[in-house]
Amino acid sequence: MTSLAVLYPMSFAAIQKHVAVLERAELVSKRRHGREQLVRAKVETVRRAFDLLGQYEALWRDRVDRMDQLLNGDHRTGDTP
Amino acid sequence: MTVTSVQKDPEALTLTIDAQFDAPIERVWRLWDDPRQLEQWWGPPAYPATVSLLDLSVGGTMKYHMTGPQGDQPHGWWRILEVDRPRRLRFTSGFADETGEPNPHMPTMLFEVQLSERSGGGTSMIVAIEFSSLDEMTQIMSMGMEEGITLAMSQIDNILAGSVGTSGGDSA
Repeated sequence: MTSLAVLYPMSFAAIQKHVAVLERAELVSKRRHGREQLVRAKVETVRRAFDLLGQYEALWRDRVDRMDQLLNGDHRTGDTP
Repeated sequence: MTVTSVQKDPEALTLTIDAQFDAPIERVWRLWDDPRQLEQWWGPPAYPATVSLLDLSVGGTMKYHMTGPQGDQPHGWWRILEVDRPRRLRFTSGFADETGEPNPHMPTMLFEVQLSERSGGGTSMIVAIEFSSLDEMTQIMSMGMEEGITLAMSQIDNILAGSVGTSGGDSA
């Protein structure tokens, strides 16, 4: 984690905070290696989250389409006999 | 295109949808505020929604259920956190038992809806949905899968449109 702090323009404490957030979201895992704390990105987790968000996106695209149909229907009401 | 952009943030577990409508802001707000309007777009054609209670005031509740092709009826609720009509709505959304009572063991989501007038007329709508954890998101999606709600809904629409056409021809 110390090397992360060197890589980013942040304090060690700030890095620790960010890592803790990512860890809670199951996006990274921490492992102790001697005196070092290794942080590893969970690629699978990120991919899973992305896939699930994609499914929810499909649901919302359909909802927005239905909203649009409803709004457009306002103009067509005059046409119906 | 109505949906102009979609942002997926797998780290914040957030989905943000931007959409543009030609209708004025008050009209778009009514899609959220009028139970008869809301139930026409909330559920997919195979799972039409029935809104039994809609009170868009802070602390207010929305109660609904959907009715599936097998007669199954998943129930859900919103709890309103913030309202600034006709521009902003924030609410928690969750699942309920068959009596409509919120089920505290089921996952919840946080919704934020923002409407604004476009300079050239029409309304832009931003809907942000935040999930609390990957496990909860997985649970929500798997329930949707079982109910056929999240599984390629456009395909379901097409199938239904096709079957309507065929049966119409047969019955005539």
